[in-house]
Amino acid sequence: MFYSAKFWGGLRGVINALLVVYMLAPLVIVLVISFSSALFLTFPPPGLSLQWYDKMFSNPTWSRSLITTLKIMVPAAAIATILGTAAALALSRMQSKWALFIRGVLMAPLIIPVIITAAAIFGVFRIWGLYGNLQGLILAHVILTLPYVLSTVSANLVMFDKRLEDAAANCGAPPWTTFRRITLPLISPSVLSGMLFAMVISFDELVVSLFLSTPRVRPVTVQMWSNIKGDTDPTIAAIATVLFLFSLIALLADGVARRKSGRAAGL
Amino acid sequence: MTLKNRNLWLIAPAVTLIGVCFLYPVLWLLQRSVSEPVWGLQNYETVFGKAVYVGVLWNTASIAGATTLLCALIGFPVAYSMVHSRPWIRKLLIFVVLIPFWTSILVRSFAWLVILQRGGIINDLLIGIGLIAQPLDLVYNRFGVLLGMVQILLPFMVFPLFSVMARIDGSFFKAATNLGANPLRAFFRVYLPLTMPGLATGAMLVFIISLGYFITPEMLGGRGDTMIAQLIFQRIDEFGDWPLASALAIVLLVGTGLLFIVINSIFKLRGGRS
Amino acid sequence: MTEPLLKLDNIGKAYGAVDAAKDINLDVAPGEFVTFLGPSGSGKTTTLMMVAGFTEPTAGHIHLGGKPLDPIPVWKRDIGMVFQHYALFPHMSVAQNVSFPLEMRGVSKRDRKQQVEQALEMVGLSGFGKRLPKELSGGQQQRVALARAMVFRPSLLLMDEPLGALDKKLREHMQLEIMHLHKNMGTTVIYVTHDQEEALVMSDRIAVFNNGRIEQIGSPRDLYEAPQTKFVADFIGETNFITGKAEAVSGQGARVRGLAGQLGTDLNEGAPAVLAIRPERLHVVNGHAVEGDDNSLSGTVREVIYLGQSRKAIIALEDGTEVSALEQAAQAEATALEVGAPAALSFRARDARILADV
Ligand SMILES: Nc1ncnc2c1ncn2[C@@H]1O[C@H](COP(=O)(O)OP(=O)(O)OP(=O)(O)O)[C@@H](O)[C@H]1O
Ligand SMILES: [Mg+2]
Repeated sequence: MFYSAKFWGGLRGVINALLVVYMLAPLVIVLVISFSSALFLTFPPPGLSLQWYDKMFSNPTWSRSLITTLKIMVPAAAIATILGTAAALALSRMQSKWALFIRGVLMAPLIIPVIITAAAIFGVFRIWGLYGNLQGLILAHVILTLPYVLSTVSANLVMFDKRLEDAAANCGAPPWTTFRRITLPLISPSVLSGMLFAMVISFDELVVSLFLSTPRVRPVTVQMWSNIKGDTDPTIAAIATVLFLFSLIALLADGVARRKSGRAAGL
Repeated sequence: MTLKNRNLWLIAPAVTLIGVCFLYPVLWLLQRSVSEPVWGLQNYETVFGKAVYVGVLWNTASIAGATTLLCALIGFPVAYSMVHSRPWIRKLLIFVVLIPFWTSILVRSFAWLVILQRGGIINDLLIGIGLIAQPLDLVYNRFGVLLGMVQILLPFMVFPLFSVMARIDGSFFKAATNLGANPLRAFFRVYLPLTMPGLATGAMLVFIISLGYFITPEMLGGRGDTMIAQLIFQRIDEFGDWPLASALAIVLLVGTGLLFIVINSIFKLRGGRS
Repeated sequence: MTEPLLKLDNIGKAYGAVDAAKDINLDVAPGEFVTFLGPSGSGKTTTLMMVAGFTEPTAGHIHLGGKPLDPIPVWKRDIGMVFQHYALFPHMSVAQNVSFPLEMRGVSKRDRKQQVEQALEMVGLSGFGKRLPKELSGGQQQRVALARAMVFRPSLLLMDEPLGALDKKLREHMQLEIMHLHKNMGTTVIYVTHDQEEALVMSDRIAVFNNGRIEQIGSPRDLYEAPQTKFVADFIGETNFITGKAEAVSGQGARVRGLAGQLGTDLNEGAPAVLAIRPERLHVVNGHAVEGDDNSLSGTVREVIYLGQSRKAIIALEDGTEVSALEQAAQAEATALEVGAPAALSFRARDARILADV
């Protein structure tokens, strides 16, 4: 038995099934409960309804926090994308040993535990008046998301043939035109991918936001956090589903972008 | 020269931002940890001297260690299965393992809560079928923390293992057993050493990332499962105790940094010799 | 010489302590085809890149059409360039690639279309305009690169080993095509290669690079027949060297180890020198002397190699120096050689060059 292919195949099947259950079941259950007609977190739900979504959007606390999240995410992702892409371009052209050091510094917020970043930023931002307002949260989110853009775009730039820029210049294209007509179209899938990454990270961010937000300016994750500790009704499941769907859509969009990038680069 | 200037302009905004809004705050934290109430290392003495704090340090290390061990035990067969499955199943498995990268830790920890808490799905089910009379304590304890953390950190173990295993000849076990080798022996003497680089990389990643975890232990753990990140949050949020919180943060920072450097250099030595 | 189109005036490029190129002086006449030839790392690309504007010289000046080129950025230089791996824009069609330089020069859409078609026709790619570069073969991509570099009729066209990635047959074919284009368009070309045969076939003049410097500039014939340095004599074609000291230096001639030859460079009496003689100028003597030969040598036959239309003999001189002599089949018949047997050689003083031994 130990030697038979059937045994191993069967074992593999069991492992695969257990993995899928372990990784997905909790999410699926939350998803289902969010459509529950019951008043508690029971499973399986006795019936289906959209009452919790209705409640989520009609309850000003939740809708306000959702809007706050968007108000943080959109500018933060935009700024991180622009700064991260610019940095990736510069670093790809720098040969000095400084380049490695600068890259390390820019990646640091991704590498060191986020609680440290959160505590440090909170301590200083409070002094600077960046506590409890959108500006502070946006700045903090830019710092947390920039490394994702930088690494995504850099990975693409490694494959980018820099002689194409030389060739464009030789054809008579000034630097900005070269960037617009040659470089940007060729790296744009990875820029898009980095931006999606930044959006998801910002959307899901909790720890730093927990420090920097006040009841007046409170993104949806922080709102969820404070409600989980109190009584839990299925509204939170609806919120969780929204968060999950947002990630899923971004993941799929990224897949599409990546496929396109493979095609454009001819690799 | 113009080219160099252009690079400077491109990189300056990012560097300035990170410098002012990240590096400076971290240095500020470092300074507070040694300057209050008076200059000196008294805050670090507290961290390493007081039983409560030492307990938290120990919790942190042991939870990270247990998470690493469990990730290895689960990740190994999973990665093996991934490598040797049909392409579409492999794609599915990769997708399934990747979901944590994309889903918020908050959402997933909440999901565990729904399933595991006293009035949760599992307890309801077990009581419903009459297997137990009193609900089990499945969450707010070490079990809950580990269940949640392993699920989140599994990809960091699976992907390094996957990339190593994919390079090892697929018919390895068949060949070994055909040659009459005891499969267990073949596994421990040949396959395991071959996958060691992936296993070690994965273990390092999981352990180091676990050390700084906050959300999962806070949501799924009990009083006895407080990790260092939670303690930092508490000291600041509840007590405004910046000196001690700063010292804890710096201990975490230096700890992860040192660990990273040490493990990395062990790797390089090993890699250099072989 | 007429007013040069391109003038390199003592230019050089130093990377720290390393001179990638140094003391480069070169005048290129309008319509000329000049080749940079030299071993790997000899500074050919560096020099070309300084002309194109991608690299800033650390010394000297470049003039194009009488105007200094130094302050002009790459995109305003109006110099066409074919890159080693073509550097076609992968996200643009062939037509868009070729049209790009015209667009940058503000050519109207209608004129662009027409000129692109002309250029593609010129390189034999009419009808390929809609394809993407990756849908073309290596040779076809090469032609697109050529069309893109020539479509805006630059006064100067630079090519850095444009045929390096092609197989031998295609390379020879493309050599001829490039030569025809050069003749028809009258463009001035600077061409980089480390293939000496390619250089000899294509060029009006060749600049031989070595260690970041130009060793000699001249027509293919000059370089072959009248090398001025040992490196050039060695790098271009096959040469026998006989080492010694310069003796009896007088005017045009000198001697090395008693053998007479023409002075390739100025040499002082007693300076270390080599006498260079091409294998086909070295005659095997069988009993009767070859008419006009005023130098003679003797040695032992080491090896005889049959090459079909010719025969090559390797002969060890008395001091152990091995030389080779190449003879047409007809002459070879008259002078049967046996390995191990003694052999006598002769050559004309005017065919031998006496060069500094460095
Ligand atoms: N960016 C650089 N930094 C330092 N040294 C360089 C740089 N570019 C070129 N060099 C050096 O300059 C010398 C000349 O290089 P160059 O590329 O001009 O040679 P080449 O004649 O084109 O050789 P090949 O036939 O291999 O292309 C080489 O020794 C090279 O190592
Ligand atoms: Mg070169």
